Amino acid sequence: MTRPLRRGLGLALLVLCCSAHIGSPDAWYQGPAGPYDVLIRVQPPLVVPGIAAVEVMPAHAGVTRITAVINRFDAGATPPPPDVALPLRDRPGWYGTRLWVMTTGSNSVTVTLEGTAGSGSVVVPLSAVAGRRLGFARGLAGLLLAAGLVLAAGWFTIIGAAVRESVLPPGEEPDATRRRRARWVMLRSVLVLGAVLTAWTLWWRAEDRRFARGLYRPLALRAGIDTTAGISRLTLTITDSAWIHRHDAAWQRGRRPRDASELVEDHGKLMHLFLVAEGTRSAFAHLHPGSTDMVTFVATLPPLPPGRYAAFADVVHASGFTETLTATLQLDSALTRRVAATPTDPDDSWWTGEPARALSARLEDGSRLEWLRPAAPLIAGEEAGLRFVLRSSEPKAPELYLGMAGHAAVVRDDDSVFIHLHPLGTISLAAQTQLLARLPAGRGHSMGPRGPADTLSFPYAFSRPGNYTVWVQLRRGGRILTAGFPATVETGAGR
Amino acid sequence: MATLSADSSVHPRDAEAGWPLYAVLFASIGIVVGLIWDISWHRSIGRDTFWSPPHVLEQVAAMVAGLSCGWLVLRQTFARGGKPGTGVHFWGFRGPLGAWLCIWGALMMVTSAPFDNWWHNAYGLDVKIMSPPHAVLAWGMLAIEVGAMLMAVARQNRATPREQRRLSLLYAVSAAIFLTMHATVLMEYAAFPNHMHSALFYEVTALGMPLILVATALPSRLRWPATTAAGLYMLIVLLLIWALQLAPATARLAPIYNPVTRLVPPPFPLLLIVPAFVIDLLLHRATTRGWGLAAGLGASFVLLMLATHWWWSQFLLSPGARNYVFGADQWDYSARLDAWRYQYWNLAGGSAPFLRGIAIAILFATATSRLGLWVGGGMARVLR
Repeated sequence: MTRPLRRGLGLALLVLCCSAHIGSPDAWYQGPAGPYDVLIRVQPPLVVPGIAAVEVMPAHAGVTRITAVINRFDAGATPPPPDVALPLRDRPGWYGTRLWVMTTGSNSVTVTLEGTAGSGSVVVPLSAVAGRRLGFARGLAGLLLAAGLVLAAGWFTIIGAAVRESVLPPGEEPDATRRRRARWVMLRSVLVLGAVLTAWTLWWRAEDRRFARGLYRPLALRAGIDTTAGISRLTLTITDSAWIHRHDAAWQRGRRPRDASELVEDHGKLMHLFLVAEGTRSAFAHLHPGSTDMVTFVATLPPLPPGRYAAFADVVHASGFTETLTATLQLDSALTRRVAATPTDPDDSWWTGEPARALSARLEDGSRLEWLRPAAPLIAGEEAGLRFVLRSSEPKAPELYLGMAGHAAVVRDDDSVFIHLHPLGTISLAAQTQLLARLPAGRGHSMGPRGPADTLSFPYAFSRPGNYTVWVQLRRGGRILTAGFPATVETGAGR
Repeated sequence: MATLSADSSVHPRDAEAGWPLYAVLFASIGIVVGLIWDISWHRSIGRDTFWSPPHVLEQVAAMVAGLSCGWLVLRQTFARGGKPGTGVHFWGFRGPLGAWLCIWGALMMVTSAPFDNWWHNAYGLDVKIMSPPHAVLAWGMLAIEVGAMLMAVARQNRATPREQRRLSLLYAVSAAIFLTMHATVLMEYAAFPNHMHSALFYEVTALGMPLILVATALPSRLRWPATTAAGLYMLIVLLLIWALQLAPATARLAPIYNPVTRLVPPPFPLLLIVPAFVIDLLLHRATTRGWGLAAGLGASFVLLMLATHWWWSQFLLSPGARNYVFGADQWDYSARLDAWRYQYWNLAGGSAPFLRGIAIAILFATATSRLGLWVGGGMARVLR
């Protein structure tokens, strides 16, 4: 397959499979819920309204009851009664329930645990969007076609029988004229049925077009390099009309509604931008462009090698809706020579090299990061076990990086899956804070992130089989350290 | 030329048991009650399953219709050595025309289930009453109800004088059920008092109601058949309004802006009894059944609907109707209650567009009345 074709397919998948996070719709949370530690996974529906699967694994014994409830982000409405999560038969230690998601966009899932240590809750932000169109399975299409043909034949037969015999006294046989008339009426009824079926099909198509228009698309983003100041500055511009006209009520009238609430800072940054070198994955950057108008975001270009890059920009809206905007960037050697001496943001980081061939990668300060990967193969849809341990001869402890013990970025080789992870999970702390601020006091509790540790654990399940790269970042001795690991994920029973 | 077969002496009742007609009427009313209950369930509780009580009622009703008519067909085909009875031929089998329609409707309802399931997966769970798979389901339901009408009218048309009143009443009941079904399907456009100052309300009601009322009245042997059917329709809806309000309900889907505590009833029934009475009156006096009569029926229907509902809606929007008897001002759990609930909807453009809409409604009603005269004339002759 040629590279442009592969790329085209990748972009098509981006559009078809995208969630608010690219290709990774599930929300994961790992952390405290009051006095309990829990691992929570929320699988959002593929269309809205739809049903989300909530799975909870308490880390403590003594939990007697787990419930979950979903509400719209603004929590202006009374929540429905919570659903009780029951033990999952095939997964010991896990409890599950299903929630009906009725509202597109930002929703809050409140999980409550009760037990010997009392009661504790946590809010998991859930961005629910319709991200794909479902085709007809061949078996179902065949079944419905067969049923339709039988019903149509039955309909014509009933019409014919009505004309031919229904008005005759019992026992009387229809004559030739009546039989001929019945055939004629049956023929004419073909036209009537044809007209009805045509109208019905047009209706269905209109509904399908309306649905397709409402499919979620991340805000359109354009990436470029500005050299007017003598150095190469990376500029990202949100070009989406829905964003440009977000304050223009007249423009929005009659158009597809989308979440255009203002952006809020996550870990103190408006945007978390990840640049990933295409192909070899030999370069990676985690930048934080700033903005004064929420439309154009600027950061100094780090010293990256020339090449083509995929850009993934994570933003959080005031509603709690999180999305990843995507663009591509071509860096030629002239641009990469004009890099600034210092980055715009002190938390910017970049890395060049090759992803580790083994499960242990050497970090810039001489220490090693080891992936504690289970022997079993990675399976799509199943918890991946992204656990890493820092090995070093120096007794220097890791520090918090952007308020977290560590960060990870997962990218599929065709760019159709991207996710930014923390030990807290896939959820955004800013989104959680936004949702909590709207809840009545005591409805949900948020706990700050855990302190730094030598061992990092990122709860996540690869959504699709394929080849991935996992970059892990942590801060130690004031330096931001990055390691890349390749990962091959096999087909599983995931959705 | 029609010929009498050798066994024409067989009495109709020998070949067609009476209970399937009652079974089909039970199924027919079960379907419409299930549908109204289901809508109320969605408006009050929100969350349902394949096995929620209204769904079970609808499924049982469809099974009763399909199986009882299937039994009737097998009996007419194979009992008595295959002698022809009161049925029509269908792929080597014999059975009453209405029974075939009921079987067809039951199959249509069954077919809609996997399609509806796919639709939910493809486009999301239901937020509207009408969708393409629901249309398939509704056609199946309507077929069962028309089948019930045909079975009843055929029995009435060949009944002995002693049986006739009972069978004519059963026919009126079947027509009332069909009328209820039709009014329910139109609920989104022509049911709430807030609709009743909009021309759309009169256009939508003119599209089907005159056909059903006229087609009901023509073949019936009752003195006031359309009035009876319309009265029974109102009674069915009123009984449901009064029953549903008694059932406790808690909304189980977010967002909940209107925390209901009881099932939300359907809106008060349309006052169809008024135009139905005049339809009966006009049909008593008519000497021909052409376009002139259709125009009179159509204009009467629309103008009487307008005269009654214009003011009646003002009462239904007033505090006097906000009680158990009238069931007004009860809204979905997801409704953000505001001034809109006491206002008229779809008022656009003033009186000129409204009058134009009424004229269009009269044209619709004339056409559907003419169709009703044709269908009713045909039904008056159905014997099998």
